[in-house]
Amino acid sequence: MAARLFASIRLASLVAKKDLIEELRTGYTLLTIFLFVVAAVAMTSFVIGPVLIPAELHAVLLWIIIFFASQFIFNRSFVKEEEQGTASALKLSTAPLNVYLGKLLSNLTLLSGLVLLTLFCYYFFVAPPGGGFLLVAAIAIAASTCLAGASTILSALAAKADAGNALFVALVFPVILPILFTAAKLTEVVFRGAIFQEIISGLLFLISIAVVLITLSVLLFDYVWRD
Amino acid sequence: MLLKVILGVWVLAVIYTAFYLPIPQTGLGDLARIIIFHVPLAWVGVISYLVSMINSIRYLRKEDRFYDIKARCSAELGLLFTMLATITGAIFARSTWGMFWNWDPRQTTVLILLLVYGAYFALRSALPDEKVQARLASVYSIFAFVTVPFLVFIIPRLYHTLHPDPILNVSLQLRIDSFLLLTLIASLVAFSGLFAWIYNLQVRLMVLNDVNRQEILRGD
Repeated sequence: MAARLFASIRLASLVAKKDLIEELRTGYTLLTIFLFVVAAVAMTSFVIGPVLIPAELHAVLLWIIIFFASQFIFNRSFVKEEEQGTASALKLSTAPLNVYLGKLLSNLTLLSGLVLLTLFCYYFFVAPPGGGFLLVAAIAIAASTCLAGASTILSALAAKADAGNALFVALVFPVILPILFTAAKLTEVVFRGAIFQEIISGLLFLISIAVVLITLSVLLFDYVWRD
Repeated sequence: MLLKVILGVWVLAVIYTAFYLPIPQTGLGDLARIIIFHVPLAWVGVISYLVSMINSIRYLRKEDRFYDIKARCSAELGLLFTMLATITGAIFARSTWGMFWNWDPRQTTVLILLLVYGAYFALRSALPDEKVQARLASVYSIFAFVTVPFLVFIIPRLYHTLHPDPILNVSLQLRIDSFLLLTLIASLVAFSGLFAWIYNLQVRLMVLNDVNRQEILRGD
């Protein structure tokens, strides 16, 4: 049992490694994300200027930037596999569970990088009230896990359809909105000066959503992946 | 036939009670009458999504097209009933808060719910192959239902809301007049019956359409 689990984790990490190396080699997605985040945060800082804005507005602005930047990541891997014709090779080489976990891992790695970059830029350019960088980072990582859990399987669904890219937005947007609402609400609380104990229940709520979404995706992915 | 007559009489009795029988003028007063329609509509909406999810699971297990048809019909009805619940809610909001739409947490989450199930039909229409369509739509229907408890029960309670306390609130206390409660229960039964009847009709119609289409494709 343990040997099978380790073998599965190793195969999933190989799938994730393949995706991440591919992204690093081509580089343009990462560069696009970097430029988008820096430009969006700099523009926000320029528009706000020296004006003091309320904590809730800071939280909303931060999550709007993260939401739009994350769209560069989510719909790529499965659509690319289908377009390049490599999906069949992937189906032959490993079990669906390993493919799902590998894609989830690569999406999560990219998304975590994106949210941390956005946070660094936001704190550098805009300097929100209340500080609490580590708390906001914890919220952002928990929310990223939820977002990656939901969007990985939905991007696999959308990749099977004719208008995959357009459909993906329609499928994923309503599902991730509650996650974004919760993350923005928690971020606002931190910007108001909250300490860890005040946001722990919200963090646990996000983690429980992530567990539910990932478990469900693991159970259902086989039906999406098969021909 | 008898069941349909009983259902018809029951629904008429509920409508008559909702509009004509006197209700206490304390609290919401006459505005409370809309609860008799609004709450059962929302209830049947959630039940429809549950039925859709159950049939989707059955489709994935047995790969019988009949279950996919049932899942689709109940999702359609769920969308219809949720829309009606949103409209009745908006009428209530206009009379109490002055605007049809206030971005109240409950209004926002019900709008998201409509978008979730709207996407279900967008997915179906984007997949030309019937077997793939049924399989992927089933997966999405199960995935979509997971959002329902969050959107209907959890998230609206996390935020400050103008929405009156739900009938069954967090403290599990009923804060509703006994006569109104009785009418509401009668209305819940009426709308559930109405859902079962329409659902049954719709499934039979879609099965007939499906059989006809298969015969045409085979050239019979």
